Amino acid sequence: MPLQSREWCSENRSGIFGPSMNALRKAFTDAGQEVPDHMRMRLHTGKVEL
Amino acid sequence: MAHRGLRFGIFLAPFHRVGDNPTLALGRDMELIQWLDHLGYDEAWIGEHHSAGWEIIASPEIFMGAAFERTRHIRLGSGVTSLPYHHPFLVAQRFVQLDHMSRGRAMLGCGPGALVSDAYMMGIKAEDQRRMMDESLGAIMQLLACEEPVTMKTDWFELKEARLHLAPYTYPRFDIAVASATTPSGVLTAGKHGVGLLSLGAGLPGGNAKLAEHWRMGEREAEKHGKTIPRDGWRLVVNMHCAEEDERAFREVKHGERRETLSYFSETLGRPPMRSEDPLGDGLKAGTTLVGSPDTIARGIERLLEYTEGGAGAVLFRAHEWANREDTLRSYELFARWVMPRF
Repeated sequence: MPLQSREWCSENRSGIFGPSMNALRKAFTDAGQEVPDHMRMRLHTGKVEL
Repeated sequence: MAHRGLRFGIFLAPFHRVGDNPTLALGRDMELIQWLDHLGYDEAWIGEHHSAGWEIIASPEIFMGAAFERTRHIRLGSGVTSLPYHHPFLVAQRFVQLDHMSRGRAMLGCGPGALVSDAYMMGIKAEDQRRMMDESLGAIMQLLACEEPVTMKTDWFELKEARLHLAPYTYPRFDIAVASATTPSGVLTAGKHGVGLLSLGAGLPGGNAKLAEHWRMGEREAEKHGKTIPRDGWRLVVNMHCAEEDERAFREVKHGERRETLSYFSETLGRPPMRSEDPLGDGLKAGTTLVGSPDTIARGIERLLEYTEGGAGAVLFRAHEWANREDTLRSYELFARWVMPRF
């Protein structure tokens, strides 16, 4: 089961973890702050290079 | 006295490689807590996660209940309870019970939920998690105050004339802290409710530079809400491994760190923002990862405290299995013997 859960997360990364990018951006803007540049890049690409 | 005021402990997610026997891994976590208790560490915070196979403790409360019976001094907290996953009334009730059963050694750590995959399975939207955490903590604080019955309605929970049937063992209440990692949300919530802060960002690249700024932000938010946030309740979370010499310490953790970073943070989670590709190399340069001899570690802690511009209450080490079991246990012993007394 731990392996299956890991594989499920890994194989569906963009669908599962993608929304957290928007949530992180929202946390900055809700606090009245700019989204830091390095986060903005990751937020835009949403791509992971292994 | 083991040391001079600064408290030390661990932040136990925990991290165990997928494929390892989970029963034995949970046993090692318990063994570690007992070892830290023996060595004079002050506190340990235990995580809550439900997916991805690495961070295998689902209920910090269950773990804490068992650990309290096997330890004498160490204080244990949830690191952290993902508030959007639970009705706030039940969170308050459970921690009041733990506070009594441990005779005041329980602490409540709060967060929005670190693994989005956990929230996904429960149908909770990532963009709602921080708001839900804030709403839940607001309810918990009112319940723990044990004043008027609490009536409150949100789009995900309701309280109707709710009151706890026991007051906390600790007067006026046990320690509560909010986790803060990559965004300002955690520190603002801590300030709003006047509770402690777990700065996980201290162990992330660039995190140290923001420590003082974040703390001031929390102080301003607290003031806005007529609250204060004491520096004693501020905990800094960093990576640490100690051996007799720098080179030996680095050699002991190098392979395990790569395995954790690549297998878990990159291949499984897609490397969350702010998480370095090379936490060991980058962290050592930035002083956010402390690996080395006792002297090297002590200098690292001094630098970390300088970043806070006024000090903090505790330094917590993010528990990992970068090194093997024996070297990991020895690392904590070396730290307790040769570094702890300096602080």
